[in-house]
Amino acid sequence: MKRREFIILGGIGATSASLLSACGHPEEKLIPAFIPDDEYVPGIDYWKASTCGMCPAGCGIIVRTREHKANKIEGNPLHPVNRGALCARGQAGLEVLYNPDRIKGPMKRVGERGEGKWEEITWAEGIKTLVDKLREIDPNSTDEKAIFATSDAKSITARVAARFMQAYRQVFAANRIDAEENGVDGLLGGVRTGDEIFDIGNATYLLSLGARFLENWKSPVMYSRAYGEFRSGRGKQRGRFVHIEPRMSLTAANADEWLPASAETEALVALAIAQTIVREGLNKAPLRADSAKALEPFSPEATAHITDIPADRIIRLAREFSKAERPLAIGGFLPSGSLSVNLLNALVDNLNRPGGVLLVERHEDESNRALELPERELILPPGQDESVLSLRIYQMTKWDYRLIMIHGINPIFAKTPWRWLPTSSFVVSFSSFIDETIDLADLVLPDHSYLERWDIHSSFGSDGAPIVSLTQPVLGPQRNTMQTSDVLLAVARSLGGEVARALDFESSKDIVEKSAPSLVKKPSSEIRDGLWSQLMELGIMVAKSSVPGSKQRAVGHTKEISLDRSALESFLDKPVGEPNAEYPLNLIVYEHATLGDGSAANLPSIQELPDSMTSVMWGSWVEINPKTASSLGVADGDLVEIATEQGSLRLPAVVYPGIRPDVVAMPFGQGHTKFGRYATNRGASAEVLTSDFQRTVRARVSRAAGKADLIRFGTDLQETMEKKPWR
Amino acid sequence: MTEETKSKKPQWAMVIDLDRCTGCEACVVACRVENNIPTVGPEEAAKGRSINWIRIERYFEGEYPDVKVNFMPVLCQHCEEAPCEPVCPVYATYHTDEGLNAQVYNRCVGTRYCANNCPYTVRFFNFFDPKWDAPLEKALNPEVSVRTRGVMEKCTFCIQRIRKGEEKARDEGRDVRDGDVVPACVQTCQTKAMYFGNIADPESEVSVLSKSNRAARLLEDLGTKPKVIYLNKGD
Repeated sequence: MKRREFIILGGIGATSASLLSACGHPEEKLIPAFIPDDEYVPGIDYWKASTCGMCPAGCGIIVRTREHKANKIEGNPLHPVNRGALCARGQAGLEVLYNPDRIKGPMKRVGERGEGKWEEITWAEGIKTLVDKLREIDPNSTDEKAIFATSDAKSITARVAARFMQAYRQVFAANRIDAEENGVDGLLGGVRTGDEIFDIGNATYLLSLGARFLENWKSPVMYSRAYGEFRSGRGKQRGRFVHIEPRMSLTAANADEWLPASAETEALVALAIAQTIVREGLNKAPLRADSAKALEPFSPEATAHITDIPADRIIRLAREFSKAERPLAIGGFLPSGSLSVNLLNALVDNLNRPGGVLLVERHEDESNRALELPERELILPPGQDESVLSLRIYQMTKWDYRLIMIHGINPIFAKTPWRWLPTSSFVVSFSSFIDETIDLADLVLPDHSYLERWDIHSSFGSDGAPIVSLTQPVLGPQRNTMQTSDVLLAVARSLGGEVARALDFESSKDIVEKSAPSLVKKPSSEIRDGLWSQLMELGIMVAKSSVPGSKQRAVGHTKEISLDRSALESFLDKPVGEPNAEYPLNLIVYEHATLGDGSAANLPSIQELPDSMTSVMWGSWVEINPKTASSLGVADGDLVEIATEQGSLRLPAVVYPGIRPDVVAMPFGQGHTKFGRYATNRGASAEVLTSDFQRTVRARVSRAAGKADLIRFGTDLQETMEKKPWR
Repeated sequence: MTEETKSKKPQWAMVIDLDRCTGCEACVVACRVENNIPTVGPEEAAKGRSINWIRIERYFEGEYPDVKVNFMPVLCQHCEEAPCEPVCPVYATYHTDEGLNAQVYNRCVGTRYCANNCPYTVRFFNFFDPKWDAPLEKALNPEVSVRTRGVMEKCTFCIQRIRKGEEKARDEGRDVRDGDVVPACVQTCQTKAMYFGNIADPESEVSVLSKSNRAARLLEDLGTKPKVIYLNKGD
C-alpha cells in the first residue's frame, strides 16, 4: 500500500504508525465480522427441486431451505428448459411466498361488495358454503350456470376443475397458450401441428418479427440461454440477429440490426422478405407456381409505403437470410400472422434441422389423458354440446353466471372487455392476494403459492426432448391456505354422485403420483420402484417419446409449399387503430419483461428493479421519440397527458431514442387500485386507454401541467456516449 | 505440484461477455436475494438511495433510426489498486490475500469517503436500518450479515460462496477449481455471460478468456487494475 505509507509518513498519528510498523499488510489482522468463524456451519441446507410459477414457461428451480425457511431460489441445472439459469422474476419468487399482503386464510364478505370487509372463517365452513352454492345449481339446466375460470389450462388445479365442471355440466374457461390456433399445417411439412421449439442456439441468422424472446415470449429463459450460445457457442460462428419492431424493446436492443417497421406491419415485412426470396429463386424448398403468384402483391416495392422499410433493405435481408448457413425466423404477433413466419422457415427448409424449427409432440393430450377415467362417457342433456362448456377467457363477452369461481387471474384489472361482476352472482375467489377482483368477491378460499403446491406437467427441453416437470412444496404452507385442487376434491366428495366419481383422488399429491406414469409413458411399477424418488429429487423425468421415428421428426419439407391465397388477403387490411388528425400517434401497450401481466407488481424487488431501457422504478411512463417530444414541447421527465378514444392518463414522459416518431409506448402491469402495499396506486393502468393490448390504438400526447412523479435509477440525463468507456 | 504452488491462494476474478449480456437484470435480483440487500421504497429511491450491488448500465449510441444500445453489468471491480482502500480512516476496507476488496461492516463508521473515491460508483451507504415487512425477513440468507445503518456495502464476489467453495476443496484435499465458486449473479445469468474463477490458475476459464482479443477493462487508464474483465461485443 504505497499511498497509505505515504500518508503515514506525512504524519497522521502514532496509532497508525504502530499498525504500519508490522510488516506486510497489517490491516489483514483485523477480523472483519462479515467473514464468519472458521468451520462454523450455522445450519443444514435442504434443497428441493420444483418448478417456477412466475410465468407459464415452467423453468425448473431448486430452492434452498434452512430451519423451515426458504432463502434462495436458483435455476435447476438439470432442467432441460432453463439449464440452471433463472430470470429476474423467478429470483423474486420468495417475495411471493413471504409477501406481507398474502391472505391469511378463508374468509367471507361482510358488508357491501367492494367495502373490503371480511370475516375469517374455517375451511370447513368455506367448503360447505361452496358446496351449498353448487347444489343450488341444476346440472341439467341450460340457463343458470356456474363457471370456473383460470389462467393456465395445464395445471393440476385446472385439470381438476375442468373435470369437475364437465362432470357437473358447468362451464370451464381458461387462457389457452398453446399452438392450437396455428392451423397452418401445410407449411409445416404436412405433419400434425404441435408445439414448436425454435433452435436459436444453433442458428447463424436469426430474423425476429417482433418476437421478444429475451423478455416474455414463450419460454424466455430457455431462449435466452440459447441466445448466449447463438452469440458465442464453442466452435460456431457468431450468429447475426435482426429484429423488426416499431419500438426498441430489450430484445431489439440486443439485435445487430433493428428495423423500426410501422406498427402492426411485422407480418407484412415477413411476406415481403418471402416474396423476394421466391422471385430471386433463393428458396431451398419448392413452392407451387400459383403460390408464388399469390405472393406478388407483397413485394418489397409494393409494401414499402405501408411498412416504412425501404425495398432495398428488405431485399438485402432476404438475400442474407436465405443464403445464411442456418437461418431461422420467429414471430411475436397474433397467431393469424404466424403464417408469414412459417412461410419464411419453409422457404429456407429448416424444419427439424439444427438451428431451425423443431416440431415436438403435442403434449396437452398426454396431460389430459392422465386424468381420464377408464370408462369415459359424458352424457349431456339434449341440445348441449361439449364446446360451450369450454371457453377461452379472452373471447368471453359476458359473465352473467349464477356462480363464478375465479382462480389465477385478475379479470377486473386485466384486459377483459367487462369490468363489473353481476350483482346477482355469487363470486368465489381462490386468489392468494387481495386484488381488484377479490374486492368484489363473496367468498375467498386462498390457494397456496407456487412454492407450496403440488403439480406435474409435460414440457420440452431446448432440444425438443419431452420431459415431465414436478412442482412440489418446498415448505409447509405459510398461511392457512389450501391448494385449490384439494378444495375441489373436498367439494366433489361432499357433492357425491358423478362429480365424486369423476374425481376419486385423495389429494393433489395423489393426482401427481397417479399422473406420472402416463405422462412419462412408463409403467407405474417402474415409477414406484425408483423413478418417483428420482422425480422428487431432481424435479424432472425424461419421458419416452410417443412418436419415435414418425413423420413429426421428418427433416425438411417433403412436399411442395402451398399457400392459401385467401389467407394472405387480410394482411393488406388497414390496422384498426390507424391514426387520424385528432389522434396522430399509435400507442403500443407492451408487456413489461419483469412486471409481466401485472401479477409481479406486488413484489418490492420487481418494483425497485430499474427498467432495462428507461431505468425507471416504482412507476409508469410513456416513451416518446426525441423529435416528436421536441415538437410537442416535451422534455424528458415532463408530465404529459396521453389520450385515446377510450380515456386519458397523465404520466411522466421518457424521451426515448428507440421508437418511431409516430409511435408512443407504455408498459402495462402497474396502476393497481388494490394489490398490496407495494403495488396499490402505483403507476397507471394502460387499461384506461385501451382494452386490447394485442393491437395498437390511436392516441395523442400533450404536455400537461404539474410535476411528473418519475423515479429513475441513475442520473436524470439521457445516458449517451461518444466513446465506449472500456476502450 | 510443489508445496509452494499448492498453498498459493486463488486470485478471484470475473469475466463478463458483453456480446451475450442482454440487460435482463436477473443478476440484479439474484444478488439482492442472496446478499440480503434491502429495497428502500419509492421515496428513498427517488433520492438516489436504492442499493444495487450490481447494476446494468445502458448506453444509447446514435440517433433514431440508427440507434445502438450497449449493456454493461457494473459491480465492484475488486481493484488491485483500489482507490477506496487508502482513504478509509479506520481501515474498514482492505485488500485480502485472495485479491478481494473486503468491506468490514463492524469497523465502518460511515464517512463515505470510499464511495466518493470509487470511480465506478459501486459502493452504497445504508442511510437507514434496513426494513423488511414481515414475514419477508424469513427469506434472508443466514450466511450473509445484515448491515445496519451507517455502514457502507458493496459486492463481495459472494464471499460466503467463496468460503464454502474453498472449504469443500480443502475437505477433498485439492485446490479450488472452476465451478467450485459461483457467485449468485454468475449462477443465474440467463445467457451464461458471466464467468468467475481463479485468474492465478492459467487453465481456469477466466484466465483463458482474459486473454481474448475482445478483453478489456473499465476505466483502465485510471490505474485501478480492476479484476473484472469485459469481453467486447462482436467477433
